[in-house]
Amino acid sequence: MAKLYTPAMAKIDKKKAKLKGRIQKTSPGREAWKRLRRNKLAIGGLVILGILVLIAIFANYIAPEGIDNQVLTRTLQTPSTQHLMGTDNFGRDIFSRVIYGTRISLPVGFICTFLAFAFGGVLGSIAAFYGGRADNLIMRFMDIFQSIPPLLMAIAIAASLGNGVLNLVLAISLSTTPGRSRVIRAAILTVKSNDYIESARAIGASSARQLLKYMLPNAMGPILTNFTFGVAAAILTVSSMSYIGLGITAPTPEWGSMLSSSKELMRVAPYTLYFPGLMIMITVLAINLFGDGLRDALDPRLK
Amino acid sequence: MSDKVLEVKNLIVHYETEDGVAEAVNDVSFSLSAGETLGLVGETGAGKTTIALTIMGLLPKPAGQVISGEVLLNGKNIVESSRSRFKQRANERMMRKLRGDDISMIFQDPMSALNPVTPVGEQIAEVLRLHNKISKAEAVLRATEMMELVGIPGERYKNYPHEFSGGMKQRIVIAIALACNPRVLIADEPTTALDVTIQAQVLQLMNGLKQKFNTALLMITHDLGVVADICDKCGVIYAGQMVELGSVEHIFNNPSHPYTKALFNALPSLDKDVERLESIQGLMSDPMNLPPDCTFRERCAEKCEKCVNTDPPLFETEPGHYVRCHRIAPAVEAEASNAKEAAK
Amino acid sequence: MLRYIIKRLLWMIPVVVGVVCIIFFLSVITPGDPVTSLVGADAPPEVREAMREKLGLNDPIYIQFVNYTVKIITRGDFGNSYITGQPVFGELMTRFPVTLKLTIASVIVALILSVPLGVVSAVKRNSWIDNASMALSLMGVSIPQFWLGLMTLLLFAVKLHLLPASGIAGISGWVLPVLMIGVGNMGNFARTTRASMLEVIQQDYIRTARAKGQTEAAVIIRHGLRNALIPIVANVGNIIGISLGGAVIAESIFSLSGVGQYMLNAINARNWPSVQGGIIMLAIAFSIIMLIMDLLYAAIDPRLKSEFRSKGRLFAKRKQKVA
Repeated sequence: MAKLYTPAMAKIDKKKAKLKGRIQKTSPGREAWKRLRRNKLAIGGLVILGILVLIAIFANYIAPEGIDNQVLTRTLQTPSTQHLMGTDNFGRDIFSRVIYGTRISLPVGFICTFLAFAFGGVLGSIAAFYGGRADNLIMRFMDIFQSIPPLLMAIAIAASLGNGVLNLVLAISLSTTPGRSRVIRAAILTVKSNDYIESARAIGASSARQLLKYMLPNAMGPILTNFTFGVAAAILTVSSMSYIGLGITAPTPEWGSMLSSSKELMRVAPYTLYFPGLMIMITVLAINLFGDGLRDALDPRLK
Repeated sequence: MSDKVLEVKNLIVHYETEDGVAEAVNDVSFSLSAGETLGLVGETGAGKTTIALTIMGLLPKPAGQVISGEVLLNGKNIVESSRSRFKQRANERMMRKLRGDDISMIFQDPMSALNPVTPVGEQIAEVLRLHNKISKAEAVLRATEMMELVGIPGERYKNYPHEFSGGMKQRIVIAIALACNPRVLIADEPTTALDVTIQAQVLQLMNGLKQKFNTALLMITHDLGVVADICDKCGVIYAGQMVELGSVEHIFNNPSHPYTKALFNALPSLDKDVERLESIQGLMSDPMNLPPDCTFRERCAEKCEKCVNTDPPLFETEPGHYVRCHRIAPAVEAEASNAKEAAK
Repeated sequence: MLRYIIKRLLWMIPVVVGVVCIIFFLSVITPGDPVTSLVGADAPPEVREAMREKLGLNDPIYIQFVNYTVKIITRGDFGNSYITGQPVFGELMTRFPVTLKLTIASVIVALILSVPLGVVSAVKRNSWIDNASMALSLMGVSIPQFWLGLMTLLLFAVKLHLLPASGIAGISGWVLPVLMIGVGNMGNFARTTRASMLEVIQQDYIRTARAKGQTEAAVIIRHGLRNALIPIVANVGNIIGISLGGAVIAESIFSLSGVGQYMLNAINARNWPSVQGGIIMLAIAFSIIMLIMDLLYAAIDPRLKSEFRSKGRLFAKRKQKVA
């Protein structure tokens, strides 16, 4: 009586028959990758991101012209087969500039996030690991630092340091450091309460070993997810800062700064505004899609 | 038959997930009369909680699906095995009126069973107001009475769950479950999450209240001691099947299924001096992938060739004592033929 | 609870001093001489020296810091604008309401629209409405705010002439700026709400509520949402911070005379007292908002309330933020 065969089971069996013969090894990482692979949106995001990286690498082959090829006889031409995205008021090919823009937004966004996580990582791990007074001191300092909203902080720092890529990177990474230190602290605290940390201590693992070998790898899930979203946010901040004139300035083809110089052309050549913004959005969307997938894959409870 | 408040007939429940279908409950039948206590024993994952959730109509949707069978509350079927959304909804509407009123459930973990942002008294009053036409003030009054009844001072009405200990929280859960004087109370391992010292108190409290209200109690546990303490009847669940069902005397004095016997062998005994307790070898079959054999065959000490590929039915070895085992079959058949001859 | 409020209020003092300290430090590392900005590069040395003395620039750095801080805290004196010569504080105060209104409006509008959406998405997980609202939310958090501002300006003001391109003459002037900041907030809130609702509806007490025979709507709202609101409220503070940043940009796009536009103009003109004043003022406003949010948070989570009662702890461990 026990073995009933329902339609739902037939469906599963069919699926299993397809997978038959494949050797299935499992480990937490592999399981997460398997879940991630099943997530079409996340893979879509990853593919778009891959394409953008390829565009960045081969920009000089893809772009028909250089970034600052001013030809004053062809200013403000609407998009055509010759100039896919039109030309700007200096007669530069917008398509070429947009292509070269990938070389700025992606690495700058990544580096800003990486630095913020490096600074925040050191502070957050110390706070979480030692707890007590060190934790209190660091986190209260972060509280004060965070009383200035991140974008305003970045504006303040960039305004004092002046324009330029390096200053912008410093401004964005410093302004986001407190938030990142919190993320890392919380992740390590969660892991720290687990019994296997206790047993690591019991077998005499040194503090550094406990932190690097036991805590960080296990806390990696939320950190990785947060890092991905961080890159997306950093790309948005980079472009916003450049837009208000506090970051990367013309003639560098940063998307935000392109928009900044095109805003005056809104009434005469609105198409100059479309593509740089669209590219920012596509890039950020791809990273966020991937980040969502990563979160669901690493934390399957909430799917 | 009419005194049976709850009857479960040939219940089959599956969980249908992306990774496979788990056959959680396979052909389970039992019945409960008013004031009677049935203990369901079995190891983790045997399907005990699924049975309880099915009766309550609280199977996790959309995975949980009743494939066939009936659950009769006072003779009226309350489960819907149809997949039709319309029928499911109608059933849900009906169940909503019954839940908390005619059938109640006490959950395993009192620590998380109460809403952390609502005062406990209000949580008791909520169920009272849902099923009785009473004013707010009256609900408060009766909720306070319920708190006193389960041994918690009424002035703690406005306290929040985190201000109570585990045992006290379970008392409040019991108060919620019994507030509307249900005919059937399902307790899903109500003492597992509690300290040993509190367990006995909570059990006694439940037993006392059950007798007071003449409620039928379905006690889910993996503790045979609990069964011996408060149950009248006992069912042993293995891999979603009822492998043995009978009165507590039947099960404790004459355990007949190899699994039941093994369970008792795994208990420490006062009169025998043994070095090591016996354990049951192996693991329970994966409900996603049940063998066509008798589900216990792999771990059975008394398996025979008959157990391969055929799943034994339930045999009645003595009145009211049912065992699902091929080994029992010859004896039962012999007895039956004897009876026939005697009748001649 | 009273003790917590007092302690939390006292905490404002180190916050304000700390913020002033950070901004002062930034002004010290800023290249360029403020004297040059004031009297011009070709002023005679005596004039420069007099100006240095007047600004207190000849004092040791810590004396400068103490003077700067004391002036701000006791008199709200951020110095005078290099451009107009007027006190920065007065100039900021006339513009501050615009920035505050814009920020708060964008947060409130977003909350009203997106929390119900997040709840429905969580309850009807993987349904079309969930997929649609999550796709929109993802777009909302991925679209560059300033570009959205530019595009809506282009569409509604330049092309369709439905709404004014700049200024806040009537209610219609607020629509585009609020939309620009609000869209990102909506995405953010909808995603947070969905995540925390999903977490909450898997909890045992939701099952208990169903076992009581409660209607599904009451289970979701009374038991689910009330618990899910706790992390949402914790998130509102962060979103207000982000929105303040967004307001700065929105003001420059839609030419609203708020603190943000004032600051950006000041940055271009190297008018440092105005920049510093603007940032300090927004930071203090933000700290006060965070204070209110913390108190609200403590009020809706009874677990926290009793923690304060028993230990009188200043900082409750905030629930881990939902990403």
